[in-house]
Amino acid sequence: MLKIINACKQFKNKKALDNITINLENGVYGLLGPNGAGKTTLMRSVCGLYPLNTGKITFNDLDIKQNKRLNSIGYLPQKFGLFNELTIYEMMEYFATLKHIANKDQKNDIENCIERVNLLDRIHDKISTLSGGMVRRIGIAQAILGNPRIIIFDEPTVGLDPEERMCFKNTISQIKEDKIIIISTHVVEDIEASCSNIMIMNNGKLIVSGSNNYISSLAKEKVYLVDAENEKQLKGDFFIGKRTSIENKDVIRVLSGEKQNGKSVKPTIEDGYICILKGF
Amino acid sequence: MYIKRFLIIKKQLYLNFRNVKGFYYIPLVFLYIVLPVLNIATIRQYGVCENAFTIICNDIQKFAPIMCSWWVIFAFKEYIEGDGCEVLYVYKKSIVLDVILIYIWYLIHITILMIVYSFYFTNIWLIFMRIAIQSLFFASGAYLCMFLFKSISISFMFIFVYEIICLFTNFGITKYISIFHSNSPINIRLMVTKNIPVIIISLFFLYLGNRLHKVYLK
Repeated sequence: MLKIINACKQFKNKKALDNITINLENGVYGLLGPNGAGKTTLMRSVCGLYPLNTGKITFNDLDIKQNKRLNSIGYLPQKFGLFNELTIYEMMEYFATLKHIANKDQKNDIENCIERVNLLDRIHDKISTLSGGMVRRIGIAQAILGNPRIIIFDEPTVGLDPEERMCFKNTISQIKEDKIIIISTHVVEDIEASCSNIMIMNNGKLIVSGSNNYISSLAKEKVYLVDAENEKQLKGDFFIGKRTSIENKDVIRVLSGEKQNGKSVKPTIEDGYICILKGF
Repeated sequence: MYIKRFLIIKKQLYLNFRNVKGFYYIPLVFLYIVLPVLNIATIRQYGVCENAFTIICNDIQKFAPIMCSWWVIFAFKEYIEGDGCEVLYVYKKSIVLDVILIYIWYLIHITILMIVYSFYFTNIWLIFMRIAIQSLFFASGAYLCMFLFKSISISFMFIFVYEIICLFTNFGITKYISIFHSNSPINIRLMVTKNIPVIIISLFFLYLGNRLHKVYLK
């Protein structure tokens, strides 16, 4: 179990993590929050890159910094573009040595991970010859190399086309057994498909965590489809979401704590997320 | 255990150097082509004599030690400027051993050069010791600069400017900061008094570099 206990991290005058406490059992967790919410700081802290000012992070009751098993964590940073002059195989070999994977297991392990991201046919190509999406997939492959118990993906689907996104979601569902996987993203759609639990952060605080249904239920009876013509008649605080056309009529999806003159619809995770952030 | 660790670092260094392509060969070009050519020209001009030996020693200390920093800086290019380099810091908490291994690898090349020189000159092993210590200074200085400036080009420029100031200028401060030897005759006593502080400073740089590595992302 991964335990984050009273985690606080401050950068000069900004509190990046503000007393975060959460226990994570095996499963796939989505981490949502606006820019600057503290998601990356939290993930870097879990990876042992940032020491906390106060609090601690433990994995199986052992401090994450003292965890000697280097291959217990897999991490995909927000930007990934290392070792451009090496081939995919060589770069993976580098990560295999970093994770202290035994020589005899390296080849199989590497090929297995590269196959999961559908790049086996290009395994001996230089990284510099790959597209941005392919490099991202290599980043995913290095994170899952060595079968780590905790895998952290920071914006994993940035730059991936729809097919690659689907491939990523499939990879997650294949590897999720006995693992704690944390996915930070702005794309709520990715989280809906891959994650069973969602954590929402804002201003360094973990404001809500729960199942997908729980998060969407937070917007129950707060989501309305309103005629675009009636936009000016909206009451109180509201948030205008998607603008669509239904039966040749322009409608807007409105989130509001107050009852609006429109049809109430079933909320999505995205609705729940926005309601939490806007305080509806 | 130690052998396994050594083999892991060796493999990582091999891949780091593969990643920098032709830049790896620059120090070797200086050691095995530029220096011998310069030295042969000196010998042709002066013959095998004390005067030629002094000029050759100066040429060696101009080019050989700084090239060690080249390898250190370029080997860890990805750790400083790579996109998403933080993932490397998750697994690698220190690169001191890697720097020392690069230094030893460089020393092996210097040794080969010195073996050839030893056929022509006596006292060459004192020069070897001097170059070895100066190379250690440059290797550790490069390690420190990388994490201090967070840029490989600025780090190398800084080291290069240091060398230019020490070798070619005559400010008052130069004699205190320079690790280079003037044309004075080589003897053990001078070696010890000049180089023991250089060794201590080099070790201090390694320590500082290691500290900066640990707080690199913070």
